[in-house]
This record gives sequence, structure tokens and C-alpha cells, in this order.
Amino acid sequence: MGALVEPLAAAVHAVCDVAKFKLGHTVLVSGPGPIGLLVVKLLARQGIKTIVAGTSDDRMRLDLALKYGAYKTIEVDKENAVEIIMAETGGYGVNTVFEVAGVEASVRTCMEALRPLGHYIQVGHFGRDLTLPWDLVAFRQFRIDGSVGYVRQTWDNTMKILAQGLIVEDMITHEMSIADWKTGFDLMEAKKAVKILLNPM
Amino acid sequence: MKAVVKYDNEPMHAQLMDMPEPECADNQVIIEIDHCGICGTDLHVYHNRFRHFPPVILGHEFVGRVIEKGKNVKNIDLPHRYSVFGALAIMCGECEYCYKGEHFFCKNRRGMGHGVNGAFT
Repeated sequence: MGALVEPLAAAVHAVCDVAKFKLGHTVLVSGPGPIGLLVVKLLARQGIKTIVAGTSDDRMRLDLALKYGAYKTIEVDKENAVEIIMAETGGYGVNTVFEVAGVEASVRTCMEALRPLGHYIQVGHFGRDLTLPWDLVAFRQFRIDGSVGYVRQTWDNTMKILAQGLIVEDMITHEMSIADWKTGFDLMEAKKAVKILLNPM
Repeated sequence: MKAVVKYDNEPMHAQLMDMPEPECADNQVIIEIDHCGICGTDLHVYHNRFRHFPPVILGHEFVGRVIEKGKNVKNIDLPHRYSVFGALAIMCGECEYCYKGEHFFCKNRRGMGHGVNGAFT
């Protein structure tokens, strides 16, 4: 469990330090990787109606999101994410989005599914430049925040959240020796794992 | 010791290598790794999509036991087990951001697993 404290702190920073949602809001988490699923756990614990978007390759991770308390999942390559989200929010769009995939198409979905005056939170990394419908930022007057890492206070808060009973060890899908690191990296890239622990030889 | 090392600036140039055992400075501890999680950032570094300083041992989401501590280290017990917030391995402590507690934005910050040696070892 201890190896999950650092990634949990990154999720706690996004959800508890940066976000400003309220009970009754609907939130979109785009990208059900390890950080995205930790964000889902933190939102579900606060009773937030959470929609999680991924691709059909993410099915295993989307099913985990449902198990962790997500309200609904969407496979964006098979379903019309924006249409589903509008139907779920009375045509307004979600109040807050967490972009945790680091994928251009995901940002586009997040922007199109976010209501005017909504809060966009960028957590994922891309490693490249993007082409986006940036006019929406002005037309819908989005508030945009990044979230990276944590501050000292986040560490203490993370430890309290764990002490108060948040379960994270159910995200460990694999454990292997550092000698098998390449197998672990390949499993992550194929989205066949959530959290993989590497152990010393 | 064996470690997973990104050994130069080319993408996907990582392998299991022998690395020297770390030495404990006065303000440092040596942690024997129990487990270290694979993070998306490790994959970004592997593919050269994230700034890094090779040769560098990957991995920063770890837990382990402190087996040695330098003489200036306080509030750390041996052989207690610690989770480590490795992203702030190096920071200046004096700039406007460090002063505010926002160490992530220190220009001199180096995180474990990309800026300094990490925990896949």
C-alpha cells in the first residue's frame, strides 16, 4: 500500500486542493489510468456523481471505476460521450472535468462536455503540442487550472484520508521483479494493468 | 546493485544495469526499497516525452525501510518504513515558490526517477 501514497497525493492535490465542486454536481473524469481511478475513489467518497470516459481498450479499468463508485462509464470510441453527458446533466454539461488521460481527443471531449463557467482541471501530460477548440474557453468562460504534484499539506491530508479508511491497495494488479520491468511497462502501455509494483531482485 | 536505468537521451534506451550503491551524506538517508510502482511519468521518460537527466534510475512511487541516516537527519527512525514524496528530491528552498511551500515550481527542482536517481532498484 505504501507505494500508492505518492500517486494518491497527486490525486488528492487535484481533487481536494485544486477542484471546487459541490455535492450535487456532476463531474467527468477522462482517463481511467491509476491517477484517474484514484480521482474517482476520492470523488465517490464524497458522494459526487462521477462519469468516467475511456476507450474500449480501457474496459477493465472502466469496470474498476464502476466498482470504485463511478456513476457511469463511457467508451468514447463506441459511444457519443458529449451526447450522453448532456443527457445526464439536463443539457448543461458537467460542472467540473478532470483530464487525466493526456490525450488530445480527451481534451476536446472534456471541453465540449463542460458547461459554461465550468471548471477544467488538467492533470494528464501529453509530451507534445495540441490542436483544440480553444474559442470555447472564452465563449463558455471556463475556469482552467493545472494540477501537478502536491504541496506539503497534501501529504498530511493524504495520510489522514488513508487513516480514515480509503482503500487503495485494490488497485495493485501486478507485482514483479525489477528484472521484469519491460513486461510491466508493456502491460501499462497496453492498459492491461492499473498499478504494477516492481520489487528489488 | 541492480537498477532500471534510462542510460542516454535516446527514446527507449533503458535497461537493467549494475549501479554503484548510494552513499549517505550528512543530510540524507538510505532507504532499502520494498516496492516501487510504475507511473505514467516513467513511461513518458522512457519514450523521451518528459524532461530527464540520463543516466538516471527510473521510479519514484516507493516505500521502503530507512537503513542508514546522516548525522544531520532528525525525525527519522531506523528501521522505520516510509512512503516517499520523491518529486521534491532537490529544491532550492529560497525562491519565491519554495518560500510559499509550492516547491514544485522551484526552477532548481529535480524529482526522483528523472531528475535524480529513483527507486527501480
